[in-house]
Amino acid sequence: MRASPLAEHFADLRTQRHALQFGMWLFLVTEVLMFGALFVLWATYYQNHAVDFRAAAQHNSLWRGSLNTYILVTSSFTAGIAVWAVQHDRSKLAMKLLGATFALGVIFLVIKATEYAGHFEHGIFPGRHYRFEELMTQGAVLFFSIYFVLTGLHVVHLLIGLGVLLWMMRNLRRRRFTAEYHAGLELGTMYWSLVDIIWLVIWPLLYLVR
Amino acid sequence: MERKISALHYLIGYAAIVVLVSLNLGLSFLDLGATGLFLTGLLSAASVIVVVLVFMHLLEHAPTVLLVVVSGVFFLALLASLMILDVVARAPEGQPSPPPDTMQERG
Repeated sequence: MRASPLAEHFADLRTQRHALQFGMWLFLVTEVLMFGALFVLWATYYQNHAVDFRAAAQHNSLWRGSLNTYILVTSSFTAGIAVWAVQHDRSKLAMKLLGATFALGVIFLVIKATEYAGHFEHGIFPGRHYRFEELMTQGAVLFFSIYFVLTGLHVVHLLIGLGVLLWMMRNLRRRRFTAEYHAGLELGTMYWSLVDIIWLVIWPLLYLVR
Repeated sequence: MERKISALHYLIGYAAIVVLVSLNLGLSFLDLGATGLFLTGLLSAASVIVVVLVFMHLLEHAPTVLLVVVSGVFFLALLASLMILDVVARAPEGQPSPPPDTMQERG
């Protein structure tokens, strides 16, 4: 008989679940504040270099960025509804949904890699390494420096999210997530959705400002 | 009794976000200046709200969790406001900053 997931210091599973959700939201808010500071940095530099920023954004691949947005939104949906599947005792469906989420995350990375390759080919690098002759302005250098910091940090979070997805699929296969208690699955999918909402702000700042 | 998000809610939420993202993409092809920037921000914010409420299950969570979310939004708004005030209060490039009001009173 499997041991109860209830930890000793909680009165019941409901209280434990609420505590875990509260803690997870606290962590997610700190992540939002970290990226938020970078978004505000973008806004500050945009104030002084609007023309250069718009010109630089033209050299980002709009179709790649937009496709990646649809991909992440879809992956957030499949991750979220995987929780619904487990709540309704449909573990096999949940496993397929988590697998789809993982696959979409990998596709995002592949598209991102092709985008970076395109930038490097044109001499678009962060900071002092920038050597894109067609747009040699201070504003463009700032824009692409912020671009690499924002998207690079986002990729790091996405890679962690892929690891979390693998952990969830492993636990799902071992029947550690049940209809009665699946806090780990819920928290993991919340993290994945955070990766999505960060991209939903990054995308307009770096691709739609044209 | 705890609220539970139904499969229909997830599907409607997904459809809503796809529509919002598509609108945002279409908007980028129109030259609306500052209005366009504002609308882009609004559409992005709406997408984020749907993801938070439905895909991150905030609708199912206890009301105390909302305190955490609201406080995060508050501090982010505070950060943005202070940065904006800083930029707006700066003198144009090449000109000295105006003296503070107290120095003008003494003079």
